[in-house]
Amino acid sequence: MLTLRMALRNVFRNRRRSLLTGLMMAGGFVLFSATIGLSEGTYGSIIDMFTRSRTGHAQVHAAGYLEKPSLYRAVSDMGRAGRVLDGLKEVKAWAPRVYAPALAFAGSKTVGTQVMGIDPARERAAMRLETQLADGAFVADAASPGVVISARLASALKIKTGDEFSLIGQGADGSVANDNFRVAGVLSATESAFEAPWCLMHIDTAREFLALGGRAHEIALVFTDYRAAREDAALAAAALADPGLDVQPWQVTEKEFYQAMLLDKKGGDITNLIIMAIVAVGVLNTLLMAVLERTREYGVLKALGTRPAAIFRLIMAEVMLLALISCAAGALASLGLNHYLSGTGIPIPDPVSYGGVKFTRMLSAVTARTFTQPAVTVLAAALIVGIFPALKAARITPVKALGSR
Amino acid sequence: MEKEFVIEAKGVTKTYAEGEVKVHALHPTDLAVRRGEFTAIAGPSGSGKTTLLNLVSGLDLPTSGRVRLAGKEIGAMSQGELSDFRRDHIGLIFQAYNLIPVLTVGENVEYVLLLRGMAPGERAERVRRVLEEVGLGGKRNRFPSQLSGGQQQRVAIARAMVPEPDLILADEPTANLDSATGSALMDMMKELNERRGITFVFSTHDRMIMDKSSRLITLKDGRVQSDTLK
Repeated sequence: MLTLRMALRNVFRNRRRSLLTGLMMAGGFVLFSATIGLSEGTYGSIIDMFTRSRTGHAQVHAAGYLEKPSLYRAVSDMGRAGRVLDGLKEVKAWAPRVYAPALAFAGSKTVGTQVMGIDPARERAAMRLETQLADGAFVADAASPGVVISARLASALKIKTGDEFSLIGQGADGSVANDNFRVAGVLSATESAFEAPWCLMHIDTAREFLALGGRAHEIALVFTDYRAAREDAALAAAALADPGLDVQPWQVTEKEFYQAMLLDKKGGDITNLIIMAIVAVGVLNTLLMAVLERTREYGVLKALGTRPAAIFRLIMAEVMLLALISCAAGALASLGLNHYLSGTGIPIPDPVSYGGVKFTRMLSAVTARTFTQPAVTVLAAALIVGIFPALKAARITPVKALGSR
Repeated sequence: MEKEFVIEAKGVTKTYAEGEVKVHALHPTDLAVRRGEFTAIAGPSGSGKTTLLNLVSGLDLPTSGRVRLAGKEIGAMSQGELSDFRRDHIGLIFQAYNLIPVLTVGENVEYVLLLRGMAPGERAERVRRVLEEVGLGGKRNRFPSQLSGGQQQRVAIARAMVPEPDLILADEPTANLDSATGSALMDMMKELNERRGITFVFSTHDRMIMDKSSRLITLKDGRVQSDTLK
């Protein structure tokens, strides 16, 4: 207890120096916290933008479909799956889809395309497909020959809204799927998640075209909180309780995007570590000065019979107390700054658009990590930085220290 | 019956290396101090009295020779064992008082008891009693910076005597004090010596301390010149 009291009084002994050291640590905390907040906010926006453009927070497929997509690997009991998903409070919306490759013809042009059958009403509730439309109208709510094509398909076939074209594919019953369609709309070339030659049509139209009956190849899920995608996907899988179904979060279905994001995050972590290393060096310098100034005092403590370990503990207690006070001050300042950044944000000079969403400012996301990670880092840095001066003080020879001024 | 020895130093020397030059601070010296003595080691600056005091307090180790304190050989002790030995057997009083500035008077005195792991109740009682004894009963919650030089040295004396050590070593205890204050403090230590039997060894070049001591050892150029019992 006396050691703690001594440590606390030592912290307030040279107030100006302690204030500067504390400001350094608190400043590092705030910088770290704001960076994490902005990073979380930005990644949150990117994940939302990406997943709501097409992927969803998780997807349900027939087992094996993800590894090897096939017209024949489909969720057959859509009625049951729909009822189960409707009963989960974590599932905000879901949308069934069918996929199939086909050949598109218009005039003398032939292009391989990917047919995607969608339920427009459900997609509207779950995704932002409609906002990616550049021209014409979106897929009608009822089955119709009107389809929406990607800009690449339009360009390859040299067709536009209102033009007709043909699709030839293979039906699930072994028949040849062959029909004429009309271009109802064209997706954006630059702000769309559909870069390849895509052809979007009503799910019932696609099912009839591909002789799929009531089946679907994919059910895209949107949860109430994208951050809980893994947990909620596991919950959905448990609720569906069907070994023939595979439920995977977006981190698995979009593995490459997720890996790239993790790599980018690691880069951010390295930047944060550099910030903390600079702070640590500053704190180390101050601590060494303090130990040097108090050499005689530590000599007296040792002469009185204080063991080196007790002196080590005294210095560490001082450092950790200062770090704790700095963390408290840093957390308060960070709360205000992050609150401001989460509301007002930082304007982006050249706004970015994707999936029909325009990003004009970087917004901060305030989570527990915004405070816990800087606190743990500052305390760990203080602990590491404190070891050297503490060892130096603990190893002081009393007779030499008593001779110092 | 003769009392036992508290200090037994035989043939102790201390040589410092200053660059390539070797400085013989203490030539082979014998010193034996019995329990209850009130001894002054006198001599001019550089005569080796502080060196001798550092060696017999275990703050420093001799270049050669042997030192026994309270019946224990200290030459073979590690730094940690020496710390424990000083804590348990020796009280130190310094010329510059050397109180811990962030501790109050009471806490400065209590600190050495805390090192011994004494129970809180006994600690509080001992601190109260010793502060009364040195006339600082009312200044327990003051910080050293709020006291005069004489009062600070009283606190240092209280700190040295509170664990009831075998030996109190005082290095020029009156050097920073005016003569009246110094004399009063010496009277107080003499009285503690007589009443409680605490062994005191001073290093000094203050005539007043030499006069009040019961044994006077003089050093010159690192050698004992005289050893007189009064």
